[in-house]
Amino acid sequence: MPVPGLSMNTPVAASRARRPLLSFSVEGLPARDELLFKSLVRLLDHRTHQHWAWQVEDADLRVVGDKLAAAPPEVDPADRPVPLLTIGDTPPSRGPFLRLPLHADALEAMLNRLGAMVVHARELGLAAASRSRNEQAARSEEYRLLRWPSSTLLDTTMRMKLATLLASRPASLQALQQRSNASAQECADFISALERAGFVASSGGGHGATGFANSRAPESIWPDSHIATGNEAPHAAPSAPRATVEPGLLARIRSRLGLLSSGPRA
Amino acid sequence: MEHKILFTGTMGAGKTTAIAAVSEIPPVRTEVRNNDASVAKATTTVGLDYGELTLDNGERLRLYGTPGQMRFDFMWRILARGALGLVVLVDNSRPDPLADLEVYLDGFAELIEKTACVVAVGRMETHPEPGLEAYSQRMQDKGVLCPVLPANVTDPQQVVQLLDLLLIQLEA
Repeated sequence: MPVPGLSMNTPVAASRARRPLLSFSVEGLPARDELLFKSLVRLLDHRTHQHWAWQVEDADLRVVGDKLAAAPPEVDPADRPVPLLTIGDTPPSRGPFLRLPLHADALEAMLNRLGAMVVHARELGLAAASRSRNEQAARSEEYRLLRWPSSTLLDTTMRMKLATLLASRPASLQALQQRSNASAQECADFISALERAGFVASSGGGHGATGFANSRAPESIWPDSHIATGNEAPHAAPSAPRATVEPGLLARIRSRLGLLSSGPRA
Repeated sequence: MEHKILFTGTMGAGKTTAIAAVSEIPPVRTEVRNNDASVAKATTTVGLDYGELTLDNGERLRLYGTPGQMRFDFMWRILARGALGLVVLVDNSRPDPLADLEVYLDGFAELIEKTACVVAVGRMETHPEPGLEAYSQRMQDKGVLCPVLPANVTDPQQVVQLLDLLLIQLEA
């Protein structure tokens, strides 16, 4: 069902909001070149098909200087290869390479090419990033919606649903995925978009920890089975225990309205 | 046991229309006599809309449209008892729709806190200001976090979507 009133979103804005979030690390480059590379990636952000963010390690893409590239390729703990982009004066025997000085057009094309590969590999379950330690941590980290997001971020029915779930209570990526039936990538991309726009805060031990208490436990992923412990995270949304709903009632209302079940249990 | 969902909002915001869009009976408009002495017209009446849906086990889901005027807020409290959730309809063509919203967020604060709420803004196509951001901000100021979206309640599908968002919150 189309989301009404979302016509204000331009296709460009909508596609940008849906861009996958990928990460890159940089090793073995002179400080000046590393800084230049990161700056160029940021400048190209409005043109690349994916949103690229730098992180220290465990990234989706390793960017290495040509001296370091001679070393054996790194594999992640699950033995999945991490794509390697070599930068310098001497091309490696194999693999993608960009010559210094960097050219924006060439870098954009390379990022788009490698980004497409990583995304495709993720979809096939092969990418290292999908199993990286950071991502594992992110999946268990809870996200709390600070306010209802801008409509430009809610360009699909699924995103509206994800925001509604988050508005109701904080959730980890995993819980969000279970409650919504959205793909892991879809949830992660949405959370990333919310984070970039400042609509969500994360809790738990990860970066950007805000020290919020955990939300209710155990997680209730089934419709009509609300369990309140009174141990809620600070939240602008309802903080009082929610009124108990008769088991099966919501499913019957859904059925009467011709709505599909929203949870994983159809 | 009675199951009910409330629709609230100013007069003309579309409560009757929204209920008619999903009710299996034509909405019943119950006239309630105004006993407010401060109002000159003692015979002034206000509307309480009613519609219903029969669920597959024979139970009924009752849909109530509350009186819009604040002087009937005593009825809001009565209607709110045991309600599953609230749909707030705001008419963006009114002089101060954000103030309208506040009236209902305050008047139904307890229900919103305990159940679920959706804010539907009507007539945005002709009156785009205030935008949804302003609504979101005002709701945040009031400590309310719930979906706010434009809606045309003459479209039954959009009314169903509002109810869907309400159910999603209750299921979370």
